[in-house]
Amino acid sequence: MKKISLSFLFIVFSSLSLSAQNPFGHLDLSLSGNYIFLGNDITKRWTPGPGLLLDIKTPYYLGELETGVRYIRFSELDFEDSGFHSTYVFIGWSVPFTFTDRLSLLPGIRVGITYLYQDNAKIYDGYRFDNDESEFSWEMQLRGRYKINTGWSVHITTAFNRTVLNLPMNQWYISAGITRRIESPKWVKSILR
Amino acid sequence: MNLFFLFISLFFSIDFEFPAEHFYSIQEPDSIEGNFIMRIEDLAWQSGYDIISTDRMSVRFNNRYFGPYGPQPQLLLDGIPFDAEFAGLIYSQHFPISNAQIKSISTVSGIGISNHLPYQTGQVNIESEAPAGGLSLFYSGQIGHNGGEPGPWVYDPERVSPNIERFGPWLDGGISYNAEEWHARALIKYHNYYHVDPFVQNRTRNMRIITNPSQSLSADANTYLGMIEAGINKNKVKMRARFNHNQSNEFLFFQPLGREIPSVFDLNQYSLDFNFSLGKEWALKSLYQFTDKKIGYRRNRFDHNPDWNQQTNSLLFTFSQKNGIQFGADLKQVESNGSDSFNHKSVYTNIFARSAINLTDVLQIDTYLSTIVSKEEPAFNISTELAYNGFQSYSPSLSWFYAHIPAAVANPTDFRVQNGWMIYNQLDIPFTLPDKIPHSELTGISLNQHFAITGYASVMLKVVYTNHYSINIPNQQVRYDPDFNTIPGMYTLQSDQNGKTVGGDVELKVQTGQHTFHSLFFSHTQTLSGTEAFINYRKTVPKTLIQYSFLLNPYRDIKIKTAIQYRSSTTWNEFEQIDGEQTRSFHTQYPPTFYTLKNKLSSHLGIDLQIAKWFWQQRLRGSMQLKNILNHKLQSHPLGVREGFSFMARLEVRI
Repeated sequence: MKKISLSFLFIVFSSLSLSAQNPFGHLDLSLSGNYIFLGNDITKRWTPGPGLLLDIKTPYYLGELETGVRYIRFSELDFEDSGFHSTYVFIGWSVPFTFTDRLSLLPGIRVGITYLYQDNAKIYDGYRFDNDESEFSWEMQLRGRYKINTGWSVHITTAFNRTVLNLPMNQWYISAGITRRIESPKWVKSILR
Repeated sequence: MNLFFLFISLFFSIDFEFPAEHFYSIQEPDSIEGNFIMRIEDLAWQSGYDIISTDRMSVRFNNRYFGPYGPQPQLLLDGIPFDAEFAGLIYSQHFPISNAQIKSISTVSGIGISNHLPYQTGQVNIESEAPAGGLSLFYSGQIGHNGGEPGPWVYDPERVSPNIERFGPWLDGGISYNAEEWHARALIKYHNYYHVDPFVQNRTRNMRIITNPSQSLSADANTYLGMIEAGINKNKVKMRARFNHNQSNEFLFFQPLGREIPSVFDLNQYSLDFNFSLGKEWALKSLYQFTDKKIGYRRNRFDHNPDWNQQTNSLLFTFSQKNGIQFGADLKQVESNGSDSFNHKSVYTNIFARSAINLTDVLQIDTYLSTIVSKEEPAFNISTELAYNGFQSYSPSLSWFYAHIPAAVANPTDFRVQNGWMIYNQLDIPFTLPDKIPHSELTGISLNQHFAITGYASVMLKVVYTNHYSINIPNQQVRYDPDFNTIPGMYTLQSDQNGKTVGGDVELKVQTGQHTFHSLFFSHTQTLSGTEAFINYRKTVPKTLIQYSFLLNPYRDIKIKTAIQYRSSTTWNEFEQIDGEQTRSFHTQYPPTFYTLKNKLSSHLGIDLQIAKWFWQQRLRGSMQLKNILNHKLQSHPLGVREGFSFMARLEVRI
């Protein structure tokens, strides 16, 4: 896993383009459906449902800065009343590689916090583990984007997410969605600069 | 290998542009950019100081000269000393500045004069960011967390693990007004921290009295600090007045006891700093400070009450001449009070002088002399440096110093005990002290070489030989206790120990492009000979310390830093008797996790990643630090936290 992640980072960084962009010039608002297709033990003991991802990207010099939130529900499988909601809040950065006028590939990385809200608190011997938990997560993603016109595009993304719990949660996602591009309002540019 | 691959790719992926400026001066003390000061250990980065901590908040600065139990360096904020030390530990929560407002840090170690102030062990000067003109407001919130929470695995009885701790919140707020000829600023800080790292929580919680097992862990530490400062800078006079009040509920790791004492700290410090220009050649600095410091009772199982108070009045005069002559006097009156009617007064006067003389066009000698006049023990210190400036890009120098550190400075706690403070008796510490605590005495010689390579890189090489003629080494041979990890054994001050060390530092700084900067610091120290106690003590200092950082500043609003540190292993003779014994997480932290106490701490390789970005036209800054991303446990003290991966996030607003 370490070799894959380091090689991924090498690909990202060794191919940096020097082309200038208009930083924060536009906003790409994306809505995607997510599905976990592979995971470690966490996906064997709970059943992840389909999820929803909302992210906002904006050009930032050599790449694109983004922030977003992803929600997925994990239903109980092996442990009674153990279902939980997972919300991942992140910031990230990706680099667009343009193949044609319409088609581009964006490898990127995300870091953030995964908030876990369990249906029920768990009590052992009088000690209560609270319903809510949060932990640091990082993610690598590869997005393929197809531009329909100047205002709309569609995308497919695959991503690997790791939440550094004591027993880490590792998940592979696939997602598909639609993106609306708008000109950044002045106040947004003013805040982001 | 993979890491090497990654960093080579980073290195060569950026275009090289060679700027005409932005080159670190080799004449200045070592300095680092302050933008990434998230935690106290960041202050000591590439300074030659190693940091030792049991809780990651209170630290000892550990250098090759005095080791972890030696006198701590003098701390300055913008050239004015401040006090954040309690019983030999420096508490970062007591710094009268927000981490977010630190612009740069410069450090020196040894003896000498810097910032017009004489120092006997070292000096760390924190420079704050200059406030914007006019009225400005500042606010910062910082919080951190260690990785390793149990998450949904709490439902699996075979895999459930305890909750992990949290850092913070640390909340700082300030207001300032900056006019052309005067300024004023105020700061308030509230810092909170829970001593619930699984390795230490059982001990700290048990000290605070166990009540209801379902109660949350009462192992918190919190600090409140307020600082106000005003200054005038007009014509030939610069004056600043500063007052800070600090109060905190803490856990004080008291080395003679071999564990913590829940304590309350209270500190008030008043400072008046004057700088006058006396004609074209001369200047005068005058500094008056009054410090009132207390360590008091915080509810604990043993009813331990340090009940200690110290008041210090100090007055300094330093005359400085443009061409390198400085002389002056530093008067200190110290009054200590404690339980059982302990009262002790001391008066010290340090008369010092420094001159930098050109022997020839290319040869300069810089000499510093200091005489401490005191009823208890006079002292004399001298350092001299012979520098050759005949080459354009190469500056060799040979320096030598002799330091005589009085017992009141080198071993202040034992000095007070010997003068009537009954703290060891009160804490039930069996102890033995020499009839008269001797001073510490050492001499050192170093060969220093600076190379400036084409103006874009510098290399510093240093070889140091130190001879400790006399050093007093505190030693507490703790015994094992299942609830508190340790109970004190016989405490001794191993006096008149001696030994020799040799070591070297290499510092490399390279600016590879307009936006990229590399720096590498390597330090190695070897004990050549010495008494058994000296040799054992030196094993608590890492023999090898390697610190590399890569700073990427691609655009005006973003900075990225990667820091790698290798710290070699250490061995603590004091904790031999508990080596191999078991400790555990606190019993209500289900399930209990068991750990083995060790007196030998492994070497450690850590990688940190830090990012800081400005928003809103430089009014808002977000910073994030991913610390120890390899998740190798770092432990710098046998009873201290074992820290794996952690992250800190900070948001600052400036209006």
